[in-house]
Amino acid sequence: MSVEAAHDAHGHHPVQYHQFEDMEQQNETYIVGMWSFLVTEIMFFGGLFLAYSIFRMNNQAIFTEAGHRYLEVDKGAFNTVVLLTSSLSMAMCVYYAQKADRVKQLLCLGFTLLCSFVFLGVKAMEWSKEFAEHHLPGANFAYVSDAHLSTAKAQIFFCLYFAMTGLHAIHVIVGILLMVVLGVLIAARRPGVKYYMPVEMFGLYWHFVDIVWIFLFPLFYLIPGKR
Amino acid sequence: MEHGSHSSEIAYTDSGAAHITPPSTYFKTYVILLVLMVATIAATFRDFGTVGNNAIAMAIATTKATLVVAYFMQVKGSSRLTIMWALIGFVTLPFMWATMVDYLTRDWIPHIGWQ
Repeated sequence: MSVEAAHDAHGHHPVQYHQFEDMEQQNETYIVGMWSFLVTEIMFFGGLFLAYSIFRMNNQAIFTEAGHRYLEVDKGAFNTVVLLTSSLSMAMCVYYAQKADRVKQLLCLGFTLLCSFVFLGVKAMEWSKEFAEHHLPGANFAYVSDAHLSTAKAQIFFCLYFAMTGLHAIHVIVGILLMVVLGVLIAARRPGVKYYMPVEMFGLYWHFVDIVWIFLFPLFYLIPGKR
Repeated sequence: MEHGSHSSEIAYTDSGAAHITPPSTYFKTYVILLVLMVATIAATFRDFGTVGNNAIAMAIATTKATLVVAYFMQVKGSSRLTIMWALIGFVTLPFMWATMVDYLTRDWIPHIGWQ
């Protein structure tokens, strides 16, 4: 008798582990576990958002000038749409996982993967432009200010820009790796991903990455002030 | 029908007491998120004062984040324990900004060597 059949024989869900009373408790444990990780992620990004607010409070003029002149709202907006769309397709992927529709689940995951590459592609375009204009903080940093603002302060803006969008991009790259692993496992019909919970866990992570961008977009691309 | 009488394939499909959000909810959330994105861009090109513009941008971003957490992450309608864990990070995060008590008040009293 297989393990699954043994479970079925005494009325258990086939993926229910012995330490759990029922599937409700098991699912809740997974979700609370994932949220505990996301709480640490909120605090991780939170430190950078705090640094951003302190430096922007003290250097409003240079943040406004550098942000307006060198960050393009249309590219940021385009990437926002891409990430929001990827969140929708990820939510639909979880939906089809719950319905155990393997093909639609893979299509949604594939579309989310495509969106993440488009996002990184646009980010790479933006970054290479900044690199070419010597805006990467360091020895070769150069910045010409109309209002004769200090180059050192412009470096603070670009430090935060690269650190925050960079950390976000690392999260997108981790997301891509996880999506590839999940996709391969689902395509190979592995029992570990037959139940929807692994996809649900990844979905929570991906939506979190989306939330971080929801805040990064207005803070860097939409700094108030005369354009 | 008893759970045990299901075949193993059907039992997998059974999502085990999880609530399944209908796709229409996801699409509605998506449309609202896009509308809010357009609103935040439109607001930035109008002058509401620095405080006003910042407040509008952050209020819209917070609304968008709330929609993502509630609907995409399915926190709305989930157990109380899940809701508590989902909120605890966002609730404790602003406490870090208590450090502004220091940063905002530094030049209230001049100190030699601090300027």
